[in-house]
Amino acid sequence: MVNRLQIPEGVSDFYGDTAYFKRKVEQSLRSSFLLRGYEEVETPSLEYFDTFKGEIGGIREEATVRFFDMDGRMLALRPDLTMPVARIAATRPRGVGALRYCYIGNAYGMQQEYGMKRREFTQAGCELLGVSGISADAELLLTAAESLLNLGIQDFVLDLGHVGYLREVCRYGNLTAVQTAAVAALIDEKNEAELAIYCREQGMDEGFAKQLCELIYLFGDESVFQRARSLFPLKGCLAIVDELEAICTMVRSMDLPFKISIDFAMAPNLNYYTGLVFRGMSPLLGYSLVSGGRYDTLMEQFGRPMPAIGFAMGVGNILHVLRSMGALRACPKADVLIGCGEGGSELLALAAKYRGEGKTVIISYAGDAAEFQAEAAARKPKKAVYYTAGTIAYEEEF
Amino acid sequence: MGKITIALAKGRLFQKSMDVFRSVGITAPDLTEDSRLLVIPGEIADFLIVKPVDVPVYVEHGVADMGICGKDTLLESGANILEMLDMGFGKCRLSVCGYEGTDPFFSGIRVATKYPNFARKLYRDRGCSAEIIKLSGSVELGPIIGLSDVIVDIVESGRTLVENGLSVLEDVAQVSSRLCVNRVSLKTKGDIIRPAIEGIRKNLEAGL
Repeated sequence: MVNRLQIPEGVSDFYGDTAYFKRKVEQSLRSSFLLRGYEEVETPSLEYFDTFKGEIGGIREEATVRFFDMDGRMLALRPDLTMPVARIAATRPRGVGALRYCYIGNAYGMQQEYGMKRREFTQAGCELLGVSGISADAELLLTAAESLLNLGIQDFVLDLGHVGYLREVCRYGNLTAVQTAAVAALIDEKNEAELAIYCREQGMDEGFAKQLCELIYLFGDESVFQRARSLFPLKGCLAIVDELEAICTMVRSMDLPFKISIDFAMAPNLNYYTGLVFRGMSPLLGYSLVSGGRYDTLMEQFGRPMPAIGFAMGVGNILHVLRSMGALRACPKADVLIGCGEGGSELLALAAKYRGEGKTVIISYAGDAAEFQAEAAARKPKKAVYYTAGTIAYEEEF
Repeated sequence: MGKITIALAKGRLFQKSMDVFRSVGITAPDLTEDSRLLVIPGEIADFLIVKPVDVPVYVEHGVADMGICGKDTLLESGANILEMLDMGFGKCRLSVCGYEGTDPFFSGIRVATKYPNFARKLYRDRGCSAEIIKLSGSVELGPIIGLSDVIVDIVESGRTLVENGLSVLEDVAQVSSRLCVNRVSLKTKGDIIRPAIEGIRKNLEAGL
């Protein structure tokens, strides 16, 4: 027999407290985004796979849930929401000034990564398009950070990096595109041992290889800026260090309670990111809460070149942190449970009266007072009221 | 100041891994391999003593902030973690082994291994179709009883191979123990982790 109770691996139902708090988190994020002028968009779960393909920001095919449309074109469940937003930004009239879009929606994947098998996950994020420069970078960083603060998450580290530094270094070392990608991947995982081996195998200059290995340790507090300047005192690198320091100073000037750390060895997806990259991390969770960065070349692929920066956060991860903080207790009880011996329109009218006072009302269909009491004891509303012949026959507060 | 959690692999790496952390002042009074305690509390760090293959799992999820395990385990796990230092001990090789004269990379080859993910990628990257058979131990049996043509396994001295009439056909990776760190912990618990790594790195450079 078919087991109709199963659901596919990597997806889940949300109900009770979890559904309630997930929605609360989404509402809080939404109002943080809207307050900063980000326009919410809703895009289809289903798109042409081509939207997600391409040299820049292209997604691995095997990591995407794909199938065929009736005309044979390949469809995909969206693996992220930045591409759909980019598509929208490219199709709508350009208008005047910066474009701000935000979203809260599900993304899908087939990633069977070690221990991480979620195939449907809710993401919330913002994209700021059509503007570059450190003020825009700082605005977006603060949007991410303040969204976390508004959720009551204060203890987090905002880790800032800039892929331009590593790019300049690789250009200075005359590395090929393949070498640059390999070096970036090793530096991103701070793998000094393998990086040293790789540089040797590739016949790179010994001094340069040593400097590359030192680059791995360009992380920590603001003293990193000085170390970054002395490690590679190249014109291009110095300009980037200045840029990141200026962004950092701007964010710090807002005097918010989170910590800031710097990491020039943060090099996620050099193909996609072009400038500032960042992550928000809580000591209560082993994965990033938020990640993002500048991707100035992506919009070219949608036929409308413009600079852009954005971030995404996993709603599931946020819920996990809030739960660990003890911030999620039980969802609030109903204000009133109401029952009525006569039932019918009497009952509906009484319920409407309470609702008119702004109270949440649950109607009980108990047949008599005893049955009503049993239901009240199980539901534990703030107040249970049972009427007979227009008067209160039983009343209890929980 | 908070506390961190360290995952140590049971078995051949245990003693040396423990010494590495002790050398930078991180230890626990009851830290022994045969401890019945699942979490061994210490002053700066609590220790978890786990199966080697589980070290990257604990570290990736951040339930352990750092740990030491073999490169072979990391290659197999594909965990998204920071692989920060080569500790230099536990050196061995990952090799394709079988009866002398066997072609280690022919199309349709049957491969028995404890490292199925690594082996699958190895053969795929060489454009060679292979049937990967996952075993949990005594992998050498594979070619002997005809379950597989070759094995992909770690080779330390090669004695077990020789005793069973097998030999190394090709070395495919060099293995040694690695200090691995959770990506988030390095930043959120940097006040403890960074000096520890710095200390371990200095000791390594000094040849201690």
